[in-house]
Amino acid sequence: MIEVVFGGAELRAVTPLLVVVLFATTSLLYEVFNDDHKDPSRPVWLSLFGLAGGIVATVALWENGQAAFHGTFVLDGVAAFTNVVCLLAAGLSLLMAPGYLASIGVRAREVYPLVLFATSGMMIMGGARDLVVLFLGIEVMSIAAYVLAGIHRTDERSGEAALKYFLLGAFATGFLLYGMAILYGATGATSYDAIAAALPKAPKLLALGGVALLVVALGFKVSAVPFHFWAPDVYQGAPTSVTALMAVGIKAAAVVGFARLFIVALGSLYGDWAMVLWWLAVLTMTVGNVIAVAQNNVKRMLAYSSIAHAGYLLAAIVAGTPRGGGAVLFYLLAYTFMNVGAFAVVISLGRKGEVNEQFDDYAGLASRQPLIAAAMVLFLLSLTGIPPLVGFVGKLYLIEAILQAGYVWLAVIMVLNSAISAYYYLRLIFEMYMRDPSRPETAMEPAPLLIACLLVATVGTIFFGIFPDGPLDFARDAFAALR
Amino acid sequence: MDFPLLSLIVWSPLGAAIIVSLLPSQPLSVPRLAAFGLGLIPFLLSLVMLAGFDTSVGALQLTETVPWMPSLGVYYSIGVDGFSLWLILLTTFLTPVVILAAWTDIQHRVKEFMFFMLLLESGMLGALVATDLFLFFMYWELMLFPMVFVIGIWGGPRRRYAAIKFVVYTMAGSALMMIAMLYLVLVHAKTGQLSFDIVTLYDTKLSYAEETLLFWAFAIAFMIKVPMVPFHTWLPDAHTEAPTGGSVDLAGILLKMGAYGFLRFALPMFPAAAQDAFPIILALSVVGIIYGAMVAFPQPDMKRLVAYSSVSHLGFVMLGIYAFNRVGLTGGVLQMVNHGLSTGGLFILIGFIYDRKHTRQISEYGGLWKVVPIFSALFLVVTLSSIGLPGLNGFVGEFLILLGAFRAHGWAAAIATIGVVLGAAYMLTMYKHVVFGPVTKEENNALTDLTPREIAAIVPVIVMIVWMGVYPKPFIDRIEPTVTVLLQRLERAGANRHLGDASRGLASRDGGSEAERLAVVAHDGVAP
Repeated sequence: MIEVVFGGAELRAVTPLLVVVLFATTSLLYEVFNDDHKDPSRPVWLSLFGLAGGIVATVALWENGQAAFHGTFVLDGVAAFTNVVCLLAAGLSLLMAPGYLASIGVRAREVYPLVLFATSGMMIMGGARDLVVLFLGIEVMSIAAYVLAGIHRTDERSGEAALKYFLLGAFATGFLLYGMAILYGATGATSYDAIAAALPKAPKLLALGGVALLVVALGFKVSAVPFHFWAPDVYQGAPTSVTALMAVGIKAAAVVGFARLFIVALGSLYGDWAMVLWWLAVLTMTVGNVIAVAQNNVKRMLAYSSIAHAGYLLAAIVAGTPRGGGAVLFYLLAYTFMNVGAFAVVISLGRKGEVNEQFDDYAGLASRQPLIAAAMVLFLLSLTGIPPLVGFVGKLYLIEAILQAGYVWLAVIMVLNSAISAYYYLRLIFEMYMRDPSRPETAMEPAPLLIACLLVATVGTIFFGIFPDGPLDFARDAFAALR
Repeated sequence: MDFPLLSLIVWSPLGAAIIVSLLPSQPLSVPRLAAFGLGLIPFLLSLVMLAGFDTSVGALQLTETVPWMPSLGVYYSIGVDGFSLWLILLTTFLTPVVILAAWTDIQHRVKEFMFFMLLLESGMLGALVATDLFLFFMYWELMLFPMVFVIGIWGGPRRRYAAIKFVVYTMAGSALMMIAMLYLVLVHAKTGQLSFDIVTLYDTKLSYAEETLLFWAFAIAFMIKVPMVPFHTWLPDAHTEAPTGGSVDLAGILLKMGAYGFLRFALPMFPAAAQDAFPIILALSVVGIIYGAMVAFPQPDMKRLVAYSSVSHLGFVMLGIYAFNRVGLTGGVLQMVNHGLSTGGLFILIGFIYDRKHTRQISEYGGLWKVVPIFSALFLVVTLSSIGLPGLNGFVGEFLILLGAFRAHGWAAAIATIGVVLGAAYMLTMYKHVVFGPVTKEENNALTDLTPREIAAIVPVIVMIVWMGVYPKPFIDRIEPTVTVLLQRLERAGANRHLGDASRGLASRDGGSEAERLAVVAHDGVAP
């Protein structure tokens, strides 16, 4: 009994998605019919408009409690917040892309529509209330991301990254589908609400088997230890602007998809999955931080730091409370500003033919490019969790939610991890400020768009550190309205 | 709300830092003069605060409260009382002095140095006035990083090692503190009110085990900062590597934050656990006093020697606080200021002589009195102040501390007295080797005496040293009411507990009963 209903709630819920996809398609077609490469900035602007349009539509149309397409897709507060975070991340990564891609010799301007397609996948994940829709979102996002990772065709590392990401991603998809199938077998439903209703009567072992496979698959997407092995190579090999999108946008969508599925659909199994996620979170943050300490490549360090942050986010999912969910959403916003900012700085140091990604390349940056160094200090201190920057407030909320749910040891482990992370973030700051430049270098002006990206990231990092109330209250209410 | 004087004091150095960072960095006199001139503003403002400070009130004064993050119960709430008053003045006083003293010491990236020094001042002042835990924590971390940069950029050869050690120690402490802070707030939130305000949090109902754990989480963070043995090892490295300005701020003010944290947070928030912790804290204080003095003795480097002497002196401060009587606590608070002045002065003078000869090795000097008499004379005054010669400030603080400690724990005070003797021994030995005797090194004959700028920087410190030594009453008068408030709170917490606990906490330490002890406390005031 499939009746196609389109209008009202349905239209409302998918409009932001439609805007983004429409612009993506337009941008792609524009490429096809205008391959004279006269004005390379046009697809960039087109894509940025698309992303901005997505944000506007999200803000205007979101509504709690309504469900579209027979309850399979929603644009509630959580989805709206996720949309904004992912669109913001995509927008910032687009801002840093043009100059950077030109400098490493990537001409393919399919990058821009691909970023938009990946973003639309993330938006689907944020609003999915059905296993099939979740799968759809993950695949739309991932396939675009596989291509993006390998867009630097002449670079071996980029090719390696794409292949690795694709192979392991396909493997994870297998787990995901198998898990979904088993869960369907146990409950007879794919919609979250129906699963939640059927779970108490479902055969427990079967359901748990499905949940375990889902943990593996989603753990892969959020790069949780021990499913993280792809992350450092892919992050390092992919073009930096793509890495920024992966580290922030993809992670955000995956974490929200994770949280919604586990809290809404699998809430009655909380007692079972909470302990698994507890260990997963602890392992993820600890392994991520400890290995990050040993890195000498900044992108690789940021990759491991991103793994560690996935651990912090998982820890708040363990809490399983609206406060925890709200803290996760807020942290994703915080993470967007500070991490994209850090990647933008990495890009700004690249030169034609050399990437300058080693710690040594940052020596004496403060005297060469004081403003960029100062911005990097802000981002790194925020990632460490130093007040009054946004990373601190974000971490504080995470810990507060974890403590409130009664997981004192988890909170202690997280704070100790955060102290470990201070070591490697500070090491980079020390390189920039406390060593002399390893070689004389002429300061190069970063592209105007890159400056805009840095500016947005800086302002966000400071502003939401001092005035976090607005987004935080929104995120909490959004999660409270979930159930 | 009245005129936001305290806010102005806290924020004006930040404003000054921003102005300095916008000025041209060449010629070097521009950032130097600007930083000095702007650095005087907070000092003048704090003098206004001093004039308006009500001597008869022990509670917080000049309070300001503005909602900041309502969703978390965080308020921008600040205030000043007898514990913070003199430390605030010390901070605003030392900053211009340090800028003047570091005039020629810092030759590269002068603008950034001035920026960080003013930022540091803002952070320290914020930590001293914050009465909201969240706000305090923010400033606590904020004052860490300017100091790290000062050590790491302008420090000696091992500056990076020293800076990272400093960060790791402090961050480890603040990590514990953050958990404890949130835990406390969440326990309190069960009453339906989410708040980070310390006075509100005083009423939190905690089980004894919770209170003990939370106390130690805070206490370890503060003990690292004091620093108390065995958390002191970052200090000699940080001091030795830091430039003069950094050392003065570090010794003068940053170290006080640990002891101040005990007074403002750890003791009043967890009164019962804090009092029961006395055997450990006292033992560590006494060990610190003796150990610091004994390690200071053989140091060949003047700065390292003074750094270890700080470990010893801060042990006295903790001893005074943990006497838990009016004399001891007052002495402890006063000694914080004294130590800031005398050790700050020592570092400034050592910096002056280092500027001339670029070594701090005691063996490189000798017979300076004949060559640089003004330096030697001033150095003598500050050295004697550090030893605790009657008539100078160090004596008043040490005497009160020992008096208070004798009443509470004779054994601890007795051992600590050995530290006084040792202190005189190592300081005078250093002074003898540097200043007296024949000029052993030929090149030392060419040393020039202090310039007018240098004299202008050190003389205000010496004036304060003498003033506080000769007439400490105005200082003590403003400390005592707050001490009384804290003591009442501690006594109440002791009395509130069932008797078994109470006798363990308070009475057993000097063999007397609770009532006797109260009587002693009530009658042992040093000032009316």
